[in-house]
Amino acid sequence: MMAGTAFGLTFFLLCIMVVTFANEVKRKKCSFTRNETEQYLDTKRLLENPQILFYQLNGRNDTVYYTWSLVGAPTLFISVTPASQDTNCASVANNSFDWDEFTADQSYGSAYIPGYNGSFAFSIVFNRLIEFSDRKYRANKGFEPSKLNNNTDRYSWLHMSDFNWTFQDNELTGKIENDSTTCVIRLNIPTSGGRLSYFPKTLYSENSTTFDFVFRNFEYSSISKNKKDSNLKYGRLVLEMLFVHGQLKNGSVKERFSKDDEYTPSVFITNNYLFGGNGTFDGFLQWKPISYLSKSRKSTQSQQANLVNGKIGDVDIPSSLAYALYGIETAGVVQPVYMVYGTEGDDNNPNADYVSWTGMLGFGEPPQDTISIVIIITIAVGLGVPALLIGVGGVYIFIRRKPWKHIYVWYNTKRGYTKVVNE
Amino acid sequence: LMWFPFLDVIPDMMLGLMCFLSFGSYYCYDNPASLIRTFIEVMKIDNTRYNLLYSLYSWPNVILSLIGGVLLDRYLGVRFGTVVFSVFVTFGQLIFALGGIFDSFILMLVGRFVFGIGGESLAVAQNAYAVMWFKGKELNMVFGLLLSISRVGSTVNMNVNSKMFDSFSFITDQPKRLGLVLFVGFGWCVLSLLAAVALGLFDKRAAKITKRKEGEGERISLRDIKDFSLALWLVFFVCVFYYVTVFPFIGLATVFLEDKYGFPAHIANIVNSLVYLISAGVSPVFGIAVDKTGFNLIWLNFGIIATLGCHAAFAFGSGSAFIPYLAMIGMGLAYSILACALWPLVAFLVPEHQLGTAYGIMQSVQNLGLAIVPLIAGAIVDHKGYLLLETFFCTCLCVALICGVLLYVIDLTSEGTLNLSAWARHRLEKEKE
Repeated sequence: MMAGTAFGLTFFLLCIMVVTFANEVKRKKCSFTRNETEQYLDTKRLLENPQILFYQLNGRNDTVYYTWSLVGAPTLFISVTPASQDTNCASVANNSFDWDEFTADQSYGSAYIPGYNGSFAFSIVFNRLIEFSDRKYRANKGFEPSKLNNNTDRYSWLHMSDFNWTFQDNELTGKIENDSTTCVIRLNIPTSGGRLSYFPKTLYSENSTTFDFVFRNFEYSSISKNKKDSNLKYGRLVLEMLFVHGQLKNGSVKERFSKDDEYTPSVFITNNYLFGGNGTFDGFLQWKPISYLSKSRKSTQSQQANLVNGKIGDVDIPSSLAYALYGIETAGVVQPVYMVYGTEGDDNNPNADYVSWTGMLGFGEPPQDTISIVIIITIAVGLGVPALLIGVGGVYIFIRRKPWKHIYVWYNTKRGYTKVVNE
Repeated sequence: LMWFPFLDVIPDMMLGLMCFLSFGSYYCYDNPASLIRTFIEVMKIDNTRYNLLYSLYSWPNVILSLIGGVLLDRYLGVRFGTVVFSVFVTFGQLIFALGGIFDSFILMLVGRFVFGIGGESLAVAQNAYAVMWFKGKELNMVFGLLLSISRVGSTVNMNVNSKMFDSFSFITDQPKRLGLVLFVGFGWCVLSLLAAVALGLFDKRAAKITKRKEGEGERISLRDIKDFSLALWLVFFVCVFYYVTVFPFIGLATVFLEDKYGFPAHIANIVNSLVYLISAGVSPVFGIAVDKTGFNLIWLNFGIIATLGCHAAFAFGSGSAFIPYLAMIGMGLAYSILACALWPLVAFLVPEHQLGTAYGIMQSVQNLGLAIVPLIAGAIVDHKGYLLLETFFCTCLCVALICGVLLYVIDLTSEGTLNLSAWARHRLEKEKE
């Protein structure tokens, strides 16, 4: 009984250790939010007109800073520094901005977040939400960034800086005056690896952050409709993003194929915009090429999300955190990219009321999905049992035939004893 | 020509009408698969609801498989029964098409249910005609030809409907456009109905002239079930666990091929039709091969293992474009081999007076599987994706393989006759005589 109790207790402690290490927090997070009048550490309260959402995550070897700026064009900034001992992120944040200058016109030099001029610093400016008239239903293949500003019959846009934001429970909600368009950005600033609970169930690490955009009730203009036939619609949404970074080498899109679509049904591709080169991964923007068309996020109500590169330098950095950090003169790269939401040949889902897109920004090697344990166990059992059966069945048949049960009879013959085998 | 049935051309003409009898039914059965993405987007449904279109086809046949033959033989007669079932098929497709015109998925489901009432029973009627006209002659060849022509109907559907939908682009209302495409299938069913009427008229005249005696008719007795051996039940399980990995897969394969392998819709449909196309060509050949060699259980287990390999290739293979071609061709070959080896096993295991019941139970169990598994498959795809779906199919095939291996072991240890060579079986039958 004593031995049994000791065994049970040991097993219980082992289980606790496994659970503990499995959920070990790898970074310690401190968050700071600010609007015109107040500064908060508590992100659960509703914050009107947030200006800065600042997150500092201290790890053993490095410290990561994520900054969402809603002043000017919405911007997500990430920088990495050697491990910091400072745990007061409010102090760090207040020391990173000249608030008067930053909030006034985001002038160059009004922001100096730790690591912004270091070996890894990167910002994405969400500049414009473009309406694209896709009359031939070619989606990304029909989108031409070079003609964006010249062809008003095919393109119109909203500036993301025109949205008025609120922030609560890790969700930014933006609305435009006298317009029904709503933009919701769901943030995830993880302290350890995990997976989003909603589709596309992106796998993230402690070195990355995810954001989920949802555009609702976009008011499509006349360029997306046919005047004579109301059934004919052509509108696609495109999100213009500017990558602004300093020392990092320019990026390129790499597609990775996975056999397992368990976490994002019907999607086998993961796209990574990789910064760096020569086989090293400095940083990445990762997304799955799917945009859901309803809140239920079913794969049957979805369309593709494909990146189209713009020409470097074609778009100026707008008033934003990126400009405050880099200005024009010191900016290494201003790479415009366009996330086009729509599937080539799909004439069923233009002028969509609900368009979602999930992305992940991080540094180091992008997380990779692997085949889940459920599949491995199912295959092992499913194939193992017949194999076992064949083996056991073969032995059974072999035994039943009783090949070794011979009866030997000795006959006395003139030549002596002769063995006769009788089966 | 109607009055001289002994002329050679009459049986050929009747054979032609028999072939066309189920062309419309097979063409329309896989209408959903050829337009799966269109159905999902236009009718605004998910994979689970889409698979109801297949599930509802099979539900009535869980019962009708048992009594369809009896209805034909004893109550309706082959001629009238054929017309009745063909009417169900035709009206079912009409209601299905109207569901598109009126943008009503419920109406589509009703149409598929009505279609299902006639579909399988029409195949039984077709076989009954074949036996009436060709028993003792080239019956095996006729059965093979009937199945081949039916599969041609399936193949035509797979390759034509998607392009037809695109070509009707002048109709901007998507549900109406879909309904119009389904009406083309209704047209084929009307032609098949006319073939059924013509068959009945010619057969009636022939029966009168030749003074053909009516047979006793099929007899179904559910009490016979208690006499069924373990081996027979294993055959039933092989049947259901195998076929649920073929037809529900074909129903979902077009979108799978587009999503995983990046095929355009028309290429995906062509590849998806390869199973039927291969089957149409090789079924008679494999039928002859199994007849000539015997060893049904070896062929059976080979067919299961080959199909397992195809699904494993779909599950764990890369996104290379050649994989679906090879896997679909392999599946078509394996499916044909298994059919030729599996169905005769029932005749080896039960006496003749129980054959009707045995085949009825077998088809009933098969249809029960085909009614339930599409819903499971749809739910898996919606929530967990295609890898888990393929794993599920591999698991079903493993169960079929377990049953196939058990069948082999039981047959070997009980000195059964399921796996005899053709020569040994021929000798056995001679000894019985």
